[in-house]
Amino acid sequence: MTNSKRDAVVIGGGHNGLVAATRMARSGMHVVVLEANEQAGGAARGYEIHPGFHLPALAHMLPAFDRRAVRELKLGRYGLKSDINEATTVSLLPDGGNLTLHPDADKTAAGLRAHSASDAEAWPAFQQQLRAHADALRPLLASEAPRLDFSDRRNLFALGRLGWSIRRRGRQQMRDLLQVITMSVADLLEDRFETDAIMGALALDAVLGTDHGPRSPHTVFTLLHRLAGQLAPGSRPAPATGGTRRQPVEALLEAAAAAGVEIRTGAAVKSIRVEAGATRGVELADGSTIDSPVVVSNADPVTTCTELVDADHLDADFRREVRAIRNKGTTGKVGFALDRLPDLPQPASGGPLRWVIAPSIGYVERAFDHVKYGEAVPEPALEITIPSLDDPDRAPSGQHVMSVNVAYAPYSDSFDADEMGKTVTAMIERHAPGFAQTVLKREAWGPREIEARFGMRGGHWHHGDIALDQFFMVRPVPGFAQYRAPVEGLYLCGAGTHPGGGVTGTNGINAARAVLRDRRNGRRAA
Amino acid sequence: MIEPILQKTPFHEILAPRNHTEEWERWQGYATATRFYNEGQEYAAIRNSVTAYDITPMLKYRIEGPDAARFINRLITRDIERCRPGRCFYTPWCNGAGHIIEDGTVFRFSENEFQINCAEHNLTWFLGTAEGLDVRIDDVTDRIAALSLQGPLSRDLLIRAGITEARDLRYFGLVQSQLQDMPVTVTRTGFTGDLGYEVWVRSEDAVALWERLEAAADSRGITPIGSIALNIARIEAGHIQVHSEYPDARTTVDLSEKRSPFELGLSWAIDFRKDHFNGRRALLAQKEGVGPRLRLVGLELPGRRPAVDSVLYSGKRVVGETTAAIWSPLLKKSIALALVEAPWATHGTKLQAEVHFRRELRLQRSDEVARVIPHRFIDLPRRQA
Amino acid sequence: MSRYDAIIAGAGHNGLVTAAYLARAGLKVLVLERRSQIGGAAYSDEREGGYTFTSCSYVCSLFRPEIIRDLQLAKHGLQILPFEGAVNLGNNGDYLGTFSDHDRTRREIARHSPRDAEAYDIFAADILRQCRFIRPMLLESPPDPTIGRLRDIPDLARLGKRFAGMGEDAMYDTLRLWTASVAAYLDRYFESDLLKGALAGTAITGTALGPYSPGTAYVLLHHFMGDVDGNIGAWGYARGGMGSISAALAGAVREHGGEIRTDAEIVEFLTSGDDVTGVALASGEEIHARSVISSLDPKRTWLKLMPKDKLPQRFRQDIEHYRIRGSSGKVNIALDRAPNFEAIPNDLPELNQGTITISPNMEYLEHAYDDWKSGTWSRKPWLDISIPSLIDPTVAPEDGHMMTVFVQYVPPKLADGEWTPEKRDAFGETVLSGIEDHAPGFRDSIVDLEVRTPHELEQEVGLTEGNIFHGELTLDQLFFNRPVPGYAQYRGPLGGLYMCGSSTHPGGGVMGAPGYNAAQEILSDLRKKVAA
Repeated sequence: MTNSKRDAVVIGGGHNGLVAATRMARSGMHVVVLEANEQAGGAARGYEIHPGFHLPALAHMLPAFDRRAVRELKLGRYGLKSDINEATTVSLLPDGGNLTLHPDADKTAAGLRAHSASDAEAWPAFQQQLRAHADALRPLLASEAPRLDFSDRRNLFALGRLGWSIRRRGRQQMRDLLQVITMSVADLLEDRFETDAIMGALALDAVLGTDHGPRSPHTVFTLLHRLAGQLAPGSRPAPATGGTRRQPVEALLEAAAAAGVEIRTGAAVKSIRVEAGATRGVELADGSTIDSPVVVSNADPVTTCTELVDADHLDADFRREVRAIRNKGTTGKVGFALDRLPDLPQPASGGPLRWVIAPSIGYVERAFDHVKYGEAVPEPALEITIPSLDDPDRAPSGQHVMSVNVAYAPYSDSFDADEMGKTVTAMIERHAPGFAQTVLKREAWGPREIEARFGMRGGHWHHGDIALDQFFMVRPVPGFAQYRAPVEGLYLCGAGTHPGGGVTGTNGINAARAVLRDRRNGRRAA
Repeated sequence: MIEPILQKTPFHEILAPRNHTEEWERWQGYATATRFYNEGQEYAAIRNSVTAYDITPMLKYRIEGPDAARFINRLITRDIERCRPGRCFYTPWCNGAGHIIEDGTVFRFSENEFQINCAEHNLTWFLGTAEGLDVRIDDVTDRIAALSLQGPLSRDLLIRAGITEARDLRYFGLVQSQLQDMPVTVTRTGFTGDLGYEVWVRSEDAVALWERLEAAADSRGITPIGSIALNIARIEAGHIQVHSEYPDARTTVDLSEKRSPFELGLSWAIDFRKDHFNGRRALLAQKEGVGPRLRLVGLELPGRRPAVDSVLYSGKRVVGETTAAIWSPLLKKSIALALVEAPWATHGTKLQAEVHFRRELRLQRSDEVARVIPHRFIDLPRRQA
Repeated sequence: MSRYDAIIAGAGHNGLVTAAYLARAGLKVLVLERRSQIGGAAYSDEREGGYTFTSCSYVCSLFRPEIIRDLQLAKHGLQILPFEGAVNLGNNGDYLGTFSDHDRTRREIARHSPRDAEAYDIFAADILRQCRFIRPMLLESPPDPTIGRLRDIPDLARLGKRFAGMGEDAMYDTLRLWTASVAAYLDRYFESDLLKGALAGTAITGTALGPYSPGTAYVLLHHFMGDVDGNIGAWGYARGGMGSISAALAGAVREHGGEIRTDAEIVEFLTSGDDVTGVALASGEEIHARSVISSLDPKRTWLKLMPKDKLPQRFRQDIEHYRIRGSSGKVNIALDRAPNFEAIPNDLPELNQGTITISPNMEYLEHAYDDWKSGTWSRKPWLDISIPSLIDPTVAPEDGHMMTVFVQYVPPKLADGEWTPEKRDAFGETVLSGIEDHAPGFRDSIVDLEVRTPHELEQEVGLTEGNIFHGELTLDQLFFNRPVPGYAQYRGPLGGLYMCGSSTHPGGGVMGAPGYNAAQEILSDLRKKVAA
């Protein structure tokens, strides 16, 4: 059996793992990233669905990358920028018509006018207000959550700073935010609009990837969570394709290599070795071991703390908390290799496009009413992208790949993902006649398939549902929101930590900072 | 028939006719005698002859399986490998934050068979701790009856009853014996600080056990005792008790009342040499930190009145409170267990105790000088001899 | 024309509490009630044959003991009868009882799951800890962090200190309790469906949300918040029906010289400049007062009775958006004999005396909510049945019994249009057959029946949309957001008009706290005026 020694081992080469590894390496640590798959990149990477056809695996919409990560990892040198083009959304309606949401509020309002004059009038201010709220949340999302241990005054100051970051935006702004953040997105919208199409599209944005329906309270929070990730000041979200822009994962891999990070693929970790309460390294599936006083896990918290670390090393109440994380995925994924471009409406737009089928709040809510009981959804809501539009290299010339997120698909043994694939095909066919004939290959995953494929327990994108009771100071579990597991030298950097999923790199950069801070403070003699 | 609120132990039919006061109280849903006739005489019997206390309501968990020892070591703060088969030991266990959940005794019947005895329900906590291990944990409370025989004559009684192994049973020793067709487990354990044994039988054998013991007793007989007499003995011995010196950390409403083993004088019972156990990390931090805020101490006071529920002052500053207090019939002085802020916990420190009492009907208050002393007030050689 | 210090609009329990406190402080007080009887939703209806229907609210524990003491309500005839236990019925003939005796409850839960029996003690401690944190806030105006006013700073600091004083773990628990769904919160502790169903029922009472909806968990606090004679978490009936609370309060008002006029419907609040100066009655009479206190819900207060042009636009919009959805129904039944619930063992008769719920599991409740969402009453509703006559002989004739059934969910409007008497009866039928399933023969014992949907609650009691709490108890409508941001301290944007109903902090239930808090604010304003 081989044995080697490193300053830090990163388990999982997803974007957060790569960010953490690169950040540590840039501070002089000798870091190895262990990726179980043949290719690093995790849920952000692409895969070949059909010979010559490449699809982003899970994340087909990319939020703005964490600006500190871009700066500290010098990702700009490798082509990654934190500002991206905001997508244009086309909501496909049952009558065959559509409504387009442009990044430019006035253009959206112009289109809305055909549906409702009052909605058209209300839209620009509403969009601005939502963005202002998302802006106000951003510092909260980027920072490490303080602990509520006030014997350490720093926690109190950190909390005060966060409070002030919201309060300084003005009394009315704060009051509005505190009022709306716990509302359901349906209530927020129905108070202000009457057009089903615009409400349905926003409702889908609020609930996609979460275990909520648009009538669930706190879905304004999930909407803002998503917006805050996507809309860094002066930046715009875009499909993961990005034309001339680099895939974040590609840029990250180059940055990691330049920083001296060693990346081993096909290296599945069997366990994290712990002795006397301190991390000693990892054991790989092939039986080899790597000694390291620091292990940073990009795997989800349940996998990390119940599979990789033996229960011998963890307190029973901590394990109970970890097991109680709600991590059952609710979202399906269908990928297509297409013979030609489907006949979907393509409004003129500077940036990338996406299509949604979410014609009303009621439609999305009815879909949720099935998944909450673990049932398949007869008429799901869809978010559709065609990544090859922006990045023609993804498919042979003239041909295309399509990626569809499906709200909702249950985490259930009896769920038939292929049946969902057929449903989705038929739904798109209705809006793009002839679509079904152009499908060369279709691959559909429910949460179970996503769980198996990406090793994320529960098959949840975010490694744990995004909800206020699993957010900030209580994510992944109370008292351990600071990227540190209760084993000396073990850190978490995946989506299961604050602020959740989305390809932003925030979790990775915060975890690396925690490692470096602990090293400075001599918490762990390396 | 309406189900009685208080359940009766298998010894109830024996003990009820002997309870001249008919005073019963609650213990884990069971009726347990408060006193049979006079607590002073019952106490005297503990220290002079042999007494019986029905400990059936104690929670009893049977632990078996290849990983049984590993489970117990995850649970408790001491190292189970220091308890050989045929022995028992006392140990606390903690939650992840290093706060004490309970203390109790662990019996090791063999390499992989154990019994844990405690005062509170712990099954869920045990099962959570046992995650991933090949171990069976059963609540056998209703299946096992137990009698605590305490007092200088307890050994003789057991021998005369036919349990001759008692002769050589060492302190915290355990023996599985047979009284004719009745399997009996005898442990040299107790809560009185005196020579004493606990006898464990199947519930259905309880009455027979009593009859055999009674038949074997000498002319002084066996004195059944109630909870008041037992409490006097346990305070003299300095034994702590859940809900008196500390709360169960899982059900504490006021979190500041949670106690660490360091505060309760149990640092000797934490074995950091063994691998991880529930609370190890937090306890290590406590050990390396500034030290416990409070400490369990003994107090001796002048006068006859027990300092029950007394606030303790140093000058005008409140520095602690008593958790249990009695007039010690053996020491002939008023003693108390108390939790005191660490700077005032050194032996010899003098504190003022606010003692309330009624003289006839009038409520009186006297301020007594309480001297801090070790909380094990008595140390009788026969306990361990 | 007469001049009063204070006019209170509405003689519901909160209006009467405010009136009594003001009168006790020496003010000249007039309570105006549209209906011909007082009490609002805390009202007992004496029917033929010696039955007293307790029309709307039916059990009592949240009513603040401080108010009973201050106003000497016992002297005015109020007596709260604690009842033993509660029972939840499942689908398969099983039941889960809870008792006032801890050991019995423990054993009963252990019958379903030993783990849950242990978890229940931990759960109870966790909830009790949160209750202790929240309880002092009930009888205090909520400090508003968004205003930045001087008076709020010490209150906020005290609140922060008490919060921190709970300890780190408890603070995390608070964050979760206030944001989690009741289903998620209970899943952390329990595995038994009947236990979870029993507890979740309280969380959805009066709420247009299901057990899977985030933000429903905190209502669990209500279950443990109240007390009867200091027994935390105990529930009780008001002897003689809930109307006796109102009658006692009215007695206190009159004792201190207050006047109560019934059949006096207010049609408009009179204003002068930005101040409210009195009320106009349907009779045309105008009555003036130094202050007017409305116990009506905010939609009625601000949108119906206030001249339109008087309100700041933002405030008006917030009131328009205020969510006040009806979701509950009520069936009152006079019986010629006690019902026999098959699942309840004959040797546990005390289980009939408390609340009998039909709440088999979480999914059952969520399905019931799904029906409400789609505009129909729950085909399989959550039923909360009580038979006060088993311990209160004054509400039914000898041998007869009075049963009151609270039903969740019932929409204020149906998908196929407004409520009609036929639809109301069909809804009643759903409830009766739901009970009959568990108590065969029950139907044959019915002698009198009253079915109330949100429509009736709105028409008769004046609850907008029939919402029993004067507005949803969701986080965006609680504390300093109740009823709307910036106006949580019992004052609106106009001078001289106060709010004292359940739409103000701390919200609904027959608690009396909003009425108490409003009275304190009014008295403090008066003292300032006197001092100035």
